Amino acid sequence: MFGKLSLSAIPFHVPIIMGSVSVVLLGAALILALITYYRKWGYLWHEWLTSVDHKRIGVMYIILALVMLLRGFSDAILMRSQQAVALGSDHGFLPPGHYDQIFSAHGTIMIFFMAMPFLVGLMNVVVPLQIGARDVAFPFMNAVSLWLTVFSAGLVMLSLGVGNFSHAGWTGYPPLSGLHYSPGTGVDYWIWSIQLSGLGSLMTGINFLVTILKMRAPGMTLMRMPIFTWTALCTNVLMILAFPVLTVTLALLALDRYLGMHFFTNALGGNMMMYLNLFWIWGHPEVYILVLPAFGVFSEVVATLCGKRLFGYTSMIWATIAITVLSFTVWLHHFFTMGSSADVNAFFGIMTMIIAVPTGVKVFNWLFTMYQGRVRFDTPMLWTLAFMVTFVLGGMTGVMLAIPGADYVLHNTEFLVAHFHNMLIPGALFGYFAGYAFWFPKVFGFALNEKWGKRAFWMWASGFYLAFMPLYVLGFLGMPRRLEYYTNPAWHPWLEIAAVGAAFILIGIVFQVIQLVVSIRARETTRDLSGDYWRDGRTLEWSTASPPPLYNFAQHPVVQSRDAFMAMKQAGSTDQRPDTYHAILMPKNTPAGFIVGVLAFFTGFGLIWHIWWLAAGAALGILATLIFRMMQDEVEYLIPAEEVQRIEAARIFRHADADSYQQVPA
Amino acid sequence: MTLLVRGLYPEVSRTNKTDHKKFKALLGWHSRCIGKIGEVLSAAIKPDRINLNLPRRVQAGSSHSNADMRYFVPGKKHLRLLGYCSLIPLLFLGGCSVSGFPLLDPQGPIGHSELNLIVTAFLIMLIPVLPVIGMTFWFAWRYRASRRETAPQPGWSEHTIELVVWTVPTIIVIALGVLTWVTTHRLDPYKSIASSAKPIQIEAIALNWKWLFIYPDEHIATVNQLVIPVNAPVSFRLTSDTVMASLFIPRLGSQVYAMAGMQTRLHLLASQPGNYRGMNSQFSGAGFPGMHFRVIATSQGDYQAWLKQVRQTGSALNLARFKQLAQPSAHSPVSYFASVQPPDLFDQVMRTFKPMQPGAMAPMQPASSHQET
Repeated sequence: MFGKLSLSAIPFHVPIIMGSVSVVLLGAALILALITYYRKWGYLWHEWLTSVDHKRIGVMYIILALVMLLRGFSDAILMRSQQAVALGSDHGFLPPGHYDQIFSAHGTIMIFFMAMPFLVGLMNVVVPLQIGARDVAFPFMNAVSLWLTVFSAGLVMLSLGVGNFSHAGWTGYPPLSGLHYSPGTGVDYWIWSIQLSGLGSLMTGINFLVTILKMRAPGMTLMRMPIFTWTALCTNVLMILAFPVLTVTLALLALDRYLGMHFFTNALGGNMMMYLNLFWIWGHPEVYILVLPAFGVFSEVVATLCGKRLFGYTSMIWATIAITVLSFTVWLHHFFTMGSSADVNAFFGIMTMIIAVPTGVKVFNWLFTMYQGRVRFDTPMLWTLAFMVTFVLGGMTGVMLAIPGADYVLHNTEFLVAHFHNMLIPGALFGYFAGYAFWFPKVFGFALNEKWGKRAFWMWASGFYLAFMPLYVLGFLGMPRRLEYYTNPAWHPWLEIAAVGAAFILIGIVFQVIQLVVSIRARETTRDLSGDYWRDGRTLEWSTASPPPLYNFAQHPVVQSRDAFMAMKQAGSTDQRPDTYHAILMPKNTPAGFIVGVLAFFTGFGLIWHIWWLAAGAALGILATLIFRMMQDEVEYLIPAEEVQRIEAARIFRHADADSYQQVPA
Repeated sequence: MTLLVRGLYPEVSRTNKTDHKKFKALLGWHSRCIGKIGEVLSAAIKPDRINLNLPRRVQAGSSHSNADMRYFVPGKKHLRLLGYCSLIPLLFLGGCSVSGFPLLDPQGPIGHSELNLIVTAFLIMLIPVLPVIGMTFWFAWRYRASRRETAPQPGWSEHTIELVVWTVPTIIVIALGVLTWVTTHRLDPYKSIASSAKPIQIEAIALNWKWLFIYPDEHIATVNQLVIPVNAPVSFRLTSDTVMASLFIPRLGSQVYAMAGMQTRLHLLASQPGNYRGMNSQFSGAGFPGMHFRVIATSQGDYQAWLKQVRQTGSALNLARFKQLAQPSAHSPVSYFASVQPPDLFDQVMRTFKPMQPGAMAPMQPASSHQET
């Protein structure tokens, strides 16, 4: 009846796990209690959970990302403190084997459930606004993507208390991840949570590619598109090309585990080298999926907060396209030590370095955007500056790892761990944080507190250096990655420094939480009534209200040039109002996306625990929901012209009122 | 370009030199390299052209002020200086005891070449990286918004600079690319090391979680200890009886994966006697932290004495004992085997995972295995 599931799957006897489970449950209970207390269930359901509005979906994605950031970071701090004490005969405070699950969960969560939702959330919020569209091309599919991602994150969270998570690393290399060496349900949790969220990502890629290609405002040619939209476009292309590879790879691994096939096993013709190739054919483009949108954010932030047109727009576009194409030609650098011939290794090493050229061009373009500008040290700009300084260091160590001869000794050491954190924390996460601070006033109509934002920034930046520079040193000390405990005393001091760095980052995260609370409480003082919070906004999202009305733009903006809003401001045409407003057709909210997510969760859960009736029933339920949804005819509704006029008039009134008080946001 | 690369990667002689001397030689050599790169770069970027094309900054009063033109035009001298500055981090590392760092104080030619390669690549990359870091701070401060006297130039752009920002990384990547091509072939782990000494053959089998080393020429085997004579090339064949592993001896250089049903190769050489740490660097499950071993590099005489000792004190390694060894256990003690039966144990272990070769109807079983099973 319940497959492999029994009460013994819950590790009641392990205090550290039960402790974390109770923290998670308490948090969830508190949130549910608050919703009930404030009678917000109806609001939550009608306005958020069933919403197909790209802005709300974006916000929910980012909330998921921030929640999972807390979870992924808890794993990180456990690892850092474990390694800081686990010297000699002392095997640390974690139960045996638990460390393996933690590093597997940390990587999986940070990539799939923190970084991906964060960037997809930013894309959701910003891309339609930047191209002057009213929603994405497929609003319902957008909701499905969101809820697949949310509920697959739920599967990972569930593995904390019910059963185990994978212990085979976030890359899940077979044969270790095969049934023979990992008979439990941990790897299955890993497979199905990634599989479901990967489907969500694939749909997001399709959705946004179509949105960007088909729904741009009149006059916005490709070479007039804002740079963030360009990077989003390239990211979507990467998602569409790369994610199916992951889906197939995981499906083959699942066949190995569920039906006794031998794609990647040791025996009967299985070959793990195939898995490594397939995994990284997805995995390397994935790095650029994460990084490119952050590059887009940095480009927008630098141009806006330096009050200057982006230097080398065309260079930037071609650099982005070059990275997109090249990202598929470098995957082998993840396993130079697998015995490929010198020709093959050298080829992939050189291809990897070639990516440094367009990346270097981007860095120089940001630099020369600052040159002769007016650099404002607002929080988004601070993240950008820290990124530029730190990212080039990561790029440098990346090129070192790209040289096969150097990789032969640096591979699998802490140097490698330091390198990819050095790319992804400044290159992706700092970019998302910059975007979070940059577009927050646009989405909510009030700004984030700068003082706490800057404090958080300094803790994060210094914490990053403290936590990861020692790992480079540990690489030269010959310390392999993923060690639960060790006997070499020479490694110990560096691991202690790294733990201090993690503590700094923890303080940074606490400051970010405080920032959010303080900002919400002080929201009346930072209201953005102009819509152009940073006053130097260049692109169309700043031309509409903050927060934007449901329909984004009362009428389609007409784009004459790059930096369309800046051009409007220069032409003095921003205050022009149409004589008459027209009714606007918008998609209706639907619970179908949420239901698909819930059912996908049960499908995954059934598959993980071999509860076949549950898996099959829930999968049929998904099919039925989708068919039901497709048969619905009334999926859109009209906002009457009078309503549009009322909303717009109210906005103009607020704005004029603010102007008359000479209120200028900080 | 060939001149550049040849200059970048000469073989630094390492015989009969103390650490300190070696390090000094390395420093001198790298500063020469940087000087050379500086010359090439300054020839490529014509300072006078850049000077002409840079726009004059417009003062608030729209009057052009020559005194305010403080553009940094990189010349040969500056690039040299930059090159020397880039040595500072290296000196810093040199200040600490390098000997504690296996990767910075390798004990064999492969490790040495790899260290040289890392340092060379590092120094070449400092050429773009240091200016970028400097410019980030400099531009951010110089053009800060609170500095009222600067009038921004919102539309400023410059095609010459765009050309330069594409060219400079390209040149550096070409240099690194040639370096990569040459060194990847030179350091190919499959390539045997040229030496007058007879190579030591080692067949390494990764088990859960220990290493079995078979000396096929000596008909002995060890667990978690590798004894090799100094200055003799060590020629490894690697396979795994379990999940993937990676044989890594940081002081000697390269690592290579060991995979079940497959054979990979690795060639190393220890040029100094010593006791070095070896490990599996590829995470392989619960016992992974306990999967390390010692490498003892000794004189030829001591090596022969050790072989004798193993032959006298070691037990016999046969298939039954092997199966016992293959049982999961971590932190396995060092053990010696005076005989290995069957002699092609390594190949048999490899074959157990591939009973059906493509195109073959039945597995090829060597005669010796029939006696054992």
